[in-house]
Amino acid sequence: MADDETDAVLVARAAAGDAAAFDLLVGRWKDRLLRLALRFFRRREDAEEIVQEVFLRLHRAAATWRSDAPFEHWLLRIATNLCRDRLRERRRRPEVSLADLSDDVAGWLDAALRGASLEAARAEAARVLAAGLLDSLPPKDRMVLVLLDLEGMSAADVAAVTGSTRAAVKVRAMRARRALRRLAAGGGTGARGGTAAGRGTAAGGGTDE
Amino acid sequence: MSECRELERALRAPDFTAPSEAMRRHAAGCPACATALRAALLLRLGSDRPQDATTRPGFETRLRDRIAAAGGFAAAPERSATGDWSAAIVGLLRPALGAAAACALIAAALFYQAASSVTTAQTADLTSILSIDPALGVVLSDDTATTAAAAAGADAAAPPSGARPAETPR
Repeated sequence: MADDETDAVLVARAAAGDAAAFDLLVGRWKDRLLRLALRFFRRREDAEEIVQEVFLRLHRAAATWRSDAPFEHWLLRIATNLCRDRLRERRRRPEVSLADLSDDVAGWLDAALRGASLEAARAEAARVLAAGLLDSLPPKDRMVLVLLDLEGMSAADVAAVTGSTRAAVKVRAMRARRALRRLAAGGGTGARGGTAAGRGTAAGGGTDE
Repeated sequence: MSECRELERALRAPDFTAPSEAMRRHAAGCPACATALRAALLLRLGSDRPQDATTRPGFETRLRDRIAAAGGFAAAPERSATGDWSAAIVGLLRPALGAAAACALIAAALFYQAASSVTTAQTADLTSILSIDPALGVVLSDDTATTAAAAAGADAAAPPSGARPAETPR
């Protein structure tokens, strides 16, 4: 089968039981989906699990895809729904507490948030801490921010992917940016003291929807 | 103010990774922009991932195993000779059934129309008989004297050939 077949043709063949067409779709989209999942889940195993689940759902529901909507939107919608659900589960677990960070560690994160360059190990530690802080955002808010600001998608595309409207996406983005600024300023999430990077509990900000 | 807007726009660009010197200078004197800069860096730091991340080896094999466990791919239905015959019969039956339904409708319409015209004809016949035969009209009006007179009048009239003459009362 030619690799230049359109996604629509491959999905139709996969829906008819063509395993080769399905394999081509997997090869074409797996890395894109993995990179999106890695935005929310730092452990590669977790991100890959999301991607596997996306393709399992694609396998089950290929016949229900309507070709009047872009396949990419449909696939990303499955992926973002899965990521959102997993983020919600993670938020229910014991909250990440940054209250007990040493001044040294808090200093790394603070430096990272000022845009200073850090040595590799400290930079990685700062990433982990920052990811923990972002976990306290409502999953839908975080999703919209990542798709808009990091993935470079338009509000219309984000609306299509998240099953929302353009106006609703803009409102959510505005609210999410406000929450993110509170988080970055160390307030609004139960942070203690004025140390940047939100020393205090990183969870509890905003409401999950 | 325009610097604030420019900074805001730059922070939302997907390729933004670190603040420029100009952004740092502006943020140093503008608390709102300093917070916006920190927020943008927090989002990027916490969502950072390798640009060239790929799935680990064996990804496809694991996926195939899971799909097989879930029932695998349904084989595309093969067309057998029997299947072709059935399809041909169904293909012929469909228009035939349509034509039969149309015929039934037309027959029903014709039957209804015919039934209506028979009723009208029968009514018309009765009316004409009454106008021709005064005796029948009198019989139907239940007037005895007039009936007798009408009967006498009818006898006086030339009976049709082959008709039985009416009996006169004694």
